[in-house]
Amino acid sequence: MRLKLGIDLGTYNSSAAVAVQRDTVVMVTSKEGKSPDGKNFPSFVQFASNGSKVSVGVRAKRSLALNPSLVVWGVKRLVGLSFQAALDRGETKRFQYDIERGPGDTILIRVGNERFTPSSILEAILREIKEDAENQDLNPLFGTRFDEAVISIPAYYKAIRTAPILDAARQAGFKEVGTIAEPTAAALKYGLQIDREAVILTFDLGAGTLDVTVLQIVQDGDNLVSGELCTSGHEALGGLDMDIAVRDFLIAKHKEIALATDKDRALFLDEVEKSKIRLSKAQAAKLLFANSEISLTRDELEEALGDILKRFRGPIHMAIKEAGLEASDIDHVLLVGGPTHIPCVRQAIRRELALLGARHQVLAEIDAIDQRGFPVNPMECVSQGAALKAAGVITPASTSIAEGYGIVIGSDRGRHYDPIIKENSMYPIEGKVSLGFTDPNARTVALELVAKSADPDKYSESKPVFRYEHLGQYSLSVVPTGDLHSVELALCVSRDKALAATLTQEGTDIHVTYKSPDLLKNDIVQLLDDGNTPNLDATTIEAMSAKFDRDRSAWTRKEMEDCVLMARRLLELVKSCTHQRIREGVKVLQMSVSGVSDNNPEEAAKLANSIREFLDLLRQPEIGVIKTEEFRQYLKDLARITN
Amino acid sequence: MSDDNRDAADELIIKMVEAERYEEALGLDHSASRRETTAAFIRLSARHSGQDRVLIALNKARNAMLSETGEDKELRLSVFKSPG
Repeated sequence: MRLKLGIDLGTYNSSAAVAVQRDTVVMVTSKEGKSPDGKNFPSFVQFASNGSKVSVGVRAKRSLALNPSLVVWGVKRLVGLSFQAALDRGETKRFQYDIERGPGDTILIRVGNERFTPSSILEAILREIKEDAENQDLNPLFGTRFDEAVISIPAYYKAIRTAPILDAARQAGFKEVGTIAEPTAAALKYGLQIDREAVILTFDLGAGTLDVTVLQIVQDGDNLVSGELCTSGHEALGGLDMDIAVRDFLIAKHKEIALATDKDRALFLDEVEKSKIRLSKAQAAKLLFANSEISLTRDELEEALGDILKRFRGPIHMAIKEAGLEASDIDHVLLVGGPTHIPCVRQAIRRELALLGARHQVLAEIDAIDQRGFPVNPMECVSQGAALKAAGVITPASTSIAEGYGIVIGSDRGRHYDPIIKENSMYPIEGKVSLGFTDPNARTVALELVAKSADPDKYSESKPVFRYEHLGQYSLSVVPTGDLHSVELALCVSRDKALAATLTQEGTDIHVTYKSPDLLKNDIVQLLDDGNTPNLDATTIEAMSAKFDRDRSAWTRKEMEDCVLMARRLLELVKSCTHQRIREGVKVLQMSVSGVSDNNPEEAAKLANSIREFLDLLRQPEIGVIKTEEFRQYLKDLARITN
Repeated sequence: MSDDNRDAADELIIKMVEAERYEEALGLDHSASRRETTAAFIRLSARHSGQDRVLIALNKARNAMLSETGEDKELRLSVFKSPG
């Protein structure tokens, strides 16, 4: 078996594993030894003051307190973000190293006179892992070069954040790179262990991100297969935020704490992190700082983390609901990541699941961790699951993507979101939309692409709040065709979770494709509402058309007559409308009506299709004859007529 | 399964989904529970893991079935007519 690496590329720590056999997964040993929290490769890179790289991993992490501006860490929180987005999220203030705005609003990390992209820092970490894995003295079981790897990615990361991580891996020397969602990797490892059908909710709280994923394992013949059903979470919520919350709590409580320099701040935060880890087992911990000793109890820790614990609610509720299941369908809860060692974190998860009606057995499993420990190692199971996927032992049959994609359409009623790919879909997935542009003399048309995702902090089942992020405005140079410009936008999210947008001028071979790395804005945009209700996308309409075509031989005279009546009603509705596209649509519809009035039943299906196409035209925002709800009602009427 | 049979099975799923005959595409009856629906979706996704067109169709069926209301489902099933 050709050995491949599974890598858990973490915000604070990374680890790697290799499946040497189906049942045997071996962790990769680092030349600098294991870090205190159980992972082998701290995600830290140390530089000299001139910007040259000094060390990666444990040594770099140890040097943080001495030279905080020369140690770059936590870069996973920055990768794939625009500078403005990082600024808005407060990420640029989190670290002691310098972060600058680069060309095209990208992020650059400045050390001395050198500037690094976040991706190049990840490259250094991945290169270190690869070199150590290939080092026979350190890892004698492998004895091979590793050209292929599967890297775990936060499930809740948007497609645009994945591409720079893949680039970093290729730059580090991996010829083939796959990805797996972090909670899914953990669940695969656990699924192999339990070896039976189950629905597993994985709560993966790392240093920088929270992912909640629902995964189902089902029997298929002699095999068990698994698939993601839904994922939710926070792109920026994890152990680092907990450290900050505890630090602020202590500063507010102990006025004697004075953090005058970057070095003071780094040292104190390091003490906070250590005490947080100690409180996983002890009832109280002591922090040593500037010759003084501060005590922190478990109750105080819970108080300090109160606001963060409340933020677990949205992702847990959303993941179960969007998976299409009830909490009572969950068979197991798998806890992953360092912060799940903290008892109050586990209790907060338990509380939410109990509120939702999770079964007693599931809650008891969480309680049992206190005595029996975790069913799988929460620090290693992600890289082990990635290794199992890399070796082809087990692969998720479906992977979900939390955000949806669409475009912004302007009308006299404001700016609206028109969906193309629905949120919480499985990928690969594609969606298309055809758009008319009213100025026939325009040489360029532009579209504003937007990602839509539910806001986990404002979760409400009855009225979810969505965030719309601007991915950029993309243009296509068009040629005059003597008619209004009609442009097709095709969006595709590939198996690698990479997003591609292709604009094509219809009736020509003129097109342009934008891929994920270009789609790098993350500005939140303000929109009035969705331009469409769900389930009225182009594909639904196409499916209805297919149905009319298929059933043409089953049409009755009554159905034909009712269709004609509906067509005439619509023609009456637009009789005073002078819009060129409407006039063209009217001609087509009138021809279809004539066909049926000649008592030709085979023309009835064509008429139903013409009505459907005409309705679609009437609801276009630039035409605006009918609103989405009216369109939906007309479509229902049409469906009833043809019953 | 031969390649020809596999292609035919792929096309059948795609056509069923296009016709909004989601239950038939997933091999379920109309009273299938949500858990049975998601299980069937995963099983078929695993069997057709190499075929993007089938995966896209299965995804569409799953999305539609899990998001539709009882009324939507009734409407969908009432619109459908037997071929021929």
